[in-house]
Amino acid sequence: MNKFNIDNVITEKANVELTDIATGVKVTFTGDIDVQNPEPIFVPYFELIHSKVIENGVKFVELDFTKLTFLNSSGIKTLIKWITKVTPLPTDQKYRFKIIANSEITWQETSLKMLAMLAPGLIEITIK
Amino acid sequence: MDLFKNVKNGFIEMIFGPRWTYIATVRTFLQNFLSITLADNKWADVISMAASELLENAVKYASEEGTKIQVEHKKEENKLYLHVENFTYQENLKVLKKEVDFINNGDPQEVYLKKMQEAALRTDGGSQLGLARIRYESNATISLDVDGDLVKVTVIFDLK
Repeated sequence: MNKFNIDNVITEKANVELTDIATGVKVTFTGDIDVQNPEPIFVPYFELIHSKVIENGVKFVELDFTKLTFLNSSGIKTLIKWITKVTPLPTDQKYRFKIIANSEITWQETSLKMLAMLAPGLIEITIK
Repeated sequence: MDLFKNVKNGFIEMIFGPRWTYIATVRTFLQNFLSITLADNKWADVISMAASELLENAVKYASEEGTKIQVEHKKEENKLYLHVENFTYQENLKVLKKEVDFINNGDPQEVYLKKMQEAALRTDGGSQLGLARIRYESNATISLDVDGDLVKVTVIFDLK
């Protein structure tokens, strides 16, 4: 469990887990996100993390995709919705993302790099 | 023996559904098969992702049963042709034609970024990111053939 008491999201083929790290919180994605409509599953989860992060003054969120083998474009949309919630925030509420990608999973380098372009200055990417 | 003598190009064809549950199976099969055929995991990943995105569209926007996927490796050209064919409604065709025009006539990265910005504001279940993603991640060309309510989307990957 994490300091926000937020449960994991578990679908048939994916697991998304929130954990505490020294610098903030970390979201770890595992498996395949390829459901037809991931919005009702992931958008409320990401919104809850977003509001808890602001409420608790957390300034850093790590998104670890290294164990996520597939993410469909509807799944990408749920991440876009989260990231674009941060850009209009006032400076004292803004937080930064670090995306961790796996160089052996082809789509990660390209698609996750594009997420960083949505919010310049707010997202850094590490490719392992 | 004649069968093999006449085959110049690798070719796969599957007809099914459309059902969402087939998509992951087809994606995994193509990824495994193409990683052997093309001897390049990167292309196998990209092409199987593209097939998955096109099949998702086929399921979401189909007007009746039947989806056909064809994969043809033209060895002499060093190109791979991915076709996905399904029946759809005329209003979907209008949107699709507009999308393909927009995606083919812009810089792949700029177009994908623009589609991502639009996706952030969409409140329906769709993302309309799939075709822009395919173009950006593979630099492939995308075209449409329409015959009544039958639509065939073709993606051509230059494997050079």
